[in-house]
Amino acid sequence: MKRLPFLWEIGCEEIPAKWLSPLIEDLRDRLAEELKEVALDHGKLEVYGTLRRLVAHVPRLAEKQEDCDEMVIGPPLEISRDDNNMWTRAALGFAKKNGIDPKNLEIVERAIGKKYVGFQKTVKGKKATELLPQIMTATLRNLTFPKFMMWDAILLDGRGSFPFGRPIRWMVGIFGTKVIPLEIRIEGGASVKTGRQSFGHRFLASDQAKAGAPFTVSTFHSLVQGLKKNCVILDPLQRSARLEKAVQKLEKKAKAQRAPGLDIDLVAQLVEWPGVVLGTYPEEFLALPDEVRHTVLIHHQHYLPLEGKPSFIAVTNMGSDPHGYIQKGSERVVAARLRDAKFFWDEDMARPLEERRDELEGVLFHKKLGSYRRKVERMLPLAEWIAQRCHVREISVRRAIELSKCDLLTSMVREFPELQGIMGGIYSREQGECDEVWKAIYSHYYPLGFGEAEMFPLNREGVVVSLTDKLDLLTSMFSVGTLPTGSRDPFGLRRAALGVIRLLLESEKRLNFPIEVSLETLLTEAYRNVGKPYNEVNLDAQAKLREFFIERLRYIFERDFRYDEVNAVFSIGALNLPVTDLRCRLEAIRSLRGSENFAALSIACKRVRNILGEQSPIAVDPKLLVETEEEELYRALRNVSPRANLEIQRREYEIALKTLSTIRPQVDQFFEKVLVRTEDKAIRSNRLALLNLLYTLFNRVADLSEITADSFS
Amino acid sequence: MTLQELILTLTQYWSDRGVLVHQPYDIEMGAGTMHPETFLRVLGSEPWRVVYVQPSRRPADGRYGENPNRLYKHHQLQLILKPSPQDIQALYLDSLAACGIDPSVHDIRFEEDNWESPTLGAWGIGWQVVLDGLEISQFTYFQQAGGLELHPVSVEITYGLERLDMYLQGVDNVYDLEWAPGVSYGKVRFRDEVEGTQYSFNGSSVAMCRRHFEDYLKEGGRLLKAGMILPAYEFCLKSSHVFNILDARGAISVSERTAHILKVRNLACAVAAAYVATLEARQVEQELLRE
Repeated sequence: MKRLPFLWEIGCEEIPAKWLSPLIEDLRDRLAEELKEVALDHGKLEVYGTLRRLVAHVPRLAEKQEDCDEMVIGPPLEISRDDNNMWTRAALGFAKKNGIDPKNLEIVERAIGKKYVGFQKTVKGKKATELLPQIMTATLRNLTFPKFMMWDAILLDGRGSFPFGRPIRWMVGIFGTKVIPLEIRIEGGASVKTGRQSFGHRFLASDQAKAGAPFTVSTFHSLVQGLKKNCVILDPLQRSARLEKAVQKLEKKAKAQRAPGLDIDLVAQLVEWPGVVLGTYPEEFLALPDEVRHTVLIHHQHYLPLEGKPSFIAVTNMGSDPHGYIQKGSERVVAARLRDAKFFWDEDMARPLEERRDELEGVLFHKKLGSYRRKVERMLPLAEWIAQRCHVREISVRRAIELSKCDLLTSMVREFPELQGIMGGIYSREQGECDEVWKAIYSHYYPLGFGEAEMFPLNREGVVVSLTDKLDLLTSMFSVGTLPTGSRDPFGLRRAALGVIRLLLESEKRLNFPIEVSLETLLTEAYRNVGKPYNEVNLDAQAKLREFFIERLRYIFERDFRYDEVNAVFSIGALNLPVTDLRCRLEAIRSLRGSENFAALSIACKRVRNILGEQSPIAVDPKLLVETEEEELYRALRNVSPRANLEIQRREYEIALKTLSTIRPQVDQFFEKVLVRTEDKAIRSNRLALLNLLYTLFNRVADLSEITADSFS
Repeated sequence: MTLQELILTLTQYWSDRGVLVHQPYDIEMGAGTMHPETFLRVLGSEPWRVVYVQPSRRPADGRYGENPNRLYKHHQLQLILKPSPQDIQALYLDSLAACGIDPSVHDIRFEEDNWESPTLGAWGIGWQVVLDGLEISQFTYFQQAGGLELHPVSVEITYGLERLDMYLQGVDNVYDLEWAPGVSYGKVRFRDEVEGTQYSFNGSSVAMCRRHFEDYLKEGGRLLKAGMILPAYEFCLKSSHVFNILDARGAISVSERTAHILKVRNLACAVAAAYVATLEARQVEQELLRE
């Protein structure tokens, strides 16, 4: 099969930097999907991009589809052949109609006894040049963006209007040496058509080229070279590497390290020809907290602050800054922004945070649930209850809750909403609150996401405040029927539920602060606090919230455990055990499931469950145990259960399961020799009771009958 | 380049490209987008190209003339091209070059910044244009106005004149800008800033503003019903401005805020719908006449 390179560049107006990496991958997936759909063999598929272009390169794309054989079915055999075994008119007519020699006719059996005449036909594969326009059109149509825009474009696939991420302004599409024709119409008569012309950097070019002018492309190699001449590095990895090197060089020069918080790979997507400049700002602004300075520099300017110095590194799209204009410009902007921040700082510091408590009355939390002041009032008793249960000083938690939302009224948080919590913490620190309190306020929105590096509350009080805040959010929102739907979750309820689970799971490891309260208990208490009338009228919402939490728990655990392991543990209760306990049980099952005894016992449990059905259990009567094997099983159970129970109490589930596994010979013998469904009713009930005892004992760890047999490894 | 030269240069640049030069609207507003030459002209299908300067009042941004960057009232040069031309980014960059900005030695970037005006029921997709780290323009492909989908899509470019000129003149304080040769921005506008801020933060009569807010909305609704769409829109603008005054004064709680914005928005959306209906009616009429 002949193979040729396929090159496709989609030239766009500036694509948002944070979309770019997933978008480039999306191009790979969508294009591969379309090629697969038409069975066009493609081998390696490379994708690249900058903010102004997406590029796909298939070095060895099949020139055409494989030919394939297809059976064409004609009339039934009975009417196709006469008594002399000659083709009838029906068969000859079929051959003629299809333009084939009757001697190529064959007999085909479609079902038992159902025979027909037919013949093998070879279907010629279509050429890639014929297929590609359709493939490219469908790929364009299927690319997904976080937000689409209308730009008066029409894609000629019969579906008309063509929303996209940003307007497309040029396209290169070459297969071998041929341009693959593809057209996007723009209403009013214009259009964008594939060709051989690409564009480089908007404003820069090396000596051999003219900035902004198009250049001709024939192959992927010539595109990369042309782009380089025109000051564009196509490969995101190369851009990142180049940028990282340049930043390190400046760090050395400035004798300072960058502060964390800005991802170089993301910044590299903001530019096509990365460069860096070192800027400084007036030293007086070092008096502002790091958090404020870094927010200004990182979130608003995408600059890298240097630790401990009034300096920053600005990433530019211009390679170099020979006149120093870019440096000077960036310094002026930074100084102006920091001056604003200083204004907010001074203004906020002029009043104690505490004084703003009453003003929270005017800040709406939710129209049915009232103001943030009411929210704080709701949170107080819940926080105290949690603090008591977890042995944290109530007085600190109480103080932290009282001040926790006051920063919503500060100028700094109004200007930089991402500093909520953090500013409350900093202002209360500056105004003399103790460590327990200010750190709790500072970190009470954490954890925000689910990454490993995610921030966590700084202390135990912070964990309690964060838990309280999130539980109050969830129970109150569910109570008034504000639930997330599809992709819409404006109050971040999913994130809050994940946050709760993460706090419960990780605070022991991170802060040596184990929380031994089940979600069920926490939710019940939180609902009590939401208060009348909501908690009484809305039992349905409570059930929904429990379901919501089980879904999140499952989502979290299924990242590390198999679904059947999660089923086994959840079927003995997902919400009424502490989350850390659930995890211990899952770990025990995971580490034991490979062993032979475990597999056998899981199968036994399944058998027992089937036999038991819905029968209600009674106590075993030892006098009714007639067979040796049942007596022995009973004795084994009696022997093993005190030890197993003790181990379960200590949460040594793996050891407990091993202990239980020791009775496998007795279980096997029982099933081999003893007939459960015997005639004698009393003996039968007693045997069922014995099996129930066995099942109940195992179920104290997890429902092992949920483990699927095919996945024993 | 003085501020007035900058205005003349940009206006001349777009005028040379077939754009109609309009004038500021004579009602207080927060941004050039609210000018009927933008808000109403982007509706419907008729092509339109217009440029004008709009003094834009933001009562909450006043700083008594003490802050070198923030102003109670600043000036926007607003451009609307409908439909948006294919080479609009290049045209825009050329306009900067006309002002003396050599893009080969500066860092000009289009950074994602989608624009939204809750009071106008309008939003668009686009960028802030950043010059060496400084935001100098907003560049938006309008997607909706008055709650209506736009077709064709208009492009709106808003130049922040003070910022751009501070960059061009290399001054760090807006009041040091040269407005005309030998005349500073401070001389022209300082007092306006001081008293404007005083009014916004302390001087306004809250009771009167509240009354006016309700009256303007009511009047707008009444005029709309009577078929006077443009006057109705003027009252929508007035209510929006008086809302901004109340907001700057801290007289509106956060919960009230949402409700107030919604009221203005409802009027704006009703105006847009009525305006489009008259455009369509006129189109039908013309077609009938042609037959």
